[in-house]
Amino acid sequence: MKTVVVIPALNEEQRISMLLREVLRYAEQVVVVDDGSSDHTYDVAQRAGQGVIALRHRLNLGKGSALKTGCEAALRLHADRVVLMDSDGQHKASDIPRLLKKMETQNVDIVFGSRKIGRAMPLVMMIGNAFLSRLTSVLFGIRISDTQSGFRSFRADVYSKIKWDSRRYSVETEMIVNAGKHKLKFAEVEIETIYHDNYKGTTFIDGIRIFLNILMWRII
Amino acid sequence: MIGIQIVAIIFALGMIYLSFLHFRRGEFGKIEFALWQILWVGLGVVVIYPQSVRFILRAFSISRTFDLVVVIGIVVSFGVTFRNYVIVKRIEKRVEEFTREESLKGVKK
Repeated sequence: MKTVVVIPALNEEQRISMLLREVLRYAEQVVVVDDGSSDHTYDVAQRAGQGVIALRHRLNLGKGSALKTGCEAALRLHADRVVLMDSDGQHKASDIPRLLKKMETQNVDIVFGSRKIGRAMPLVMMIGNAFLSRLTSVLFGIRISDTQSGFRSFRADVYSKIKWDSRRYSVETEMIVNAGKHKLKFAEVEIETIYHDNYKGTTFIDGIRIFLNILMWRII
Repeated sequence: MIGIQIVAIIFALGMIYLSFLHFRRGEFGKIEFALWQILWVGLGVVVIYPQSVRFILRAFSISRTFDLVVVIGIVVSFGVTFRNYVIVKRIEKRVEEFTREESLKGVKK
């Protein structure tokens, strides 16, 4: 079974090298998609050695687009399983085997990494996450405790079913919505998360956009 | 002539000049340029002679020329907004596809 890890990256020259070293301990191939960084993220990823394929978007298209490019690359590389994770070092590569194991033992199509709800998670994120989680559960019948976590794995053959159109941070939710629409088998794994000071993820405005998108996906 | 008419005429003259500039730079074709000129000159005529569109006012049961201009303005604004939205979406999609294809060039199928 070939596993390819897809990592979208934007201006992560400081952290990407260490992250790739860690990830290569658990996966044979990693695809890094530099989403139009203004620093040397692409060069650093290219020098990371065997097993790392560095791709570059000349323009910044957004996380959703970068993930899509990475997944297209993973399919071209004949991946059987795809793992998605963030490049800012908030996910622990050591959780990759746990996600994959869950997928095999429970025979599910997709496994969502869910961050621990606790003091480490910022309050706004905690409330927003709980609300979006409840909303997707009511509207699509798929209950995930952490809808915004970017750490997840899926079987390559279900990619066409969960494939998303979102270019930015709605991608995680759209993936869940599509999994719900296609009645895919799923599971959750609790993951460790490290929150950095220079957090670049979902903002309050993104949360509102995601909320509106969820309503739109229900209607259309 | 009241103040609002003077403002509207200055606006129409400015737009006539801008349309001409776009035409001179080759950004507008002859037909496009002619259509924009007709629109701005037409606006100027309606502003100077409001009674010239009385037959339209009667046909649509509108009491004042100003109301007619506002209604047309709103309808045109919505139309232009929709058109711009469609164009932007199309361009975004093409840029994304192009950027993705370019980045995936090295990855064998």
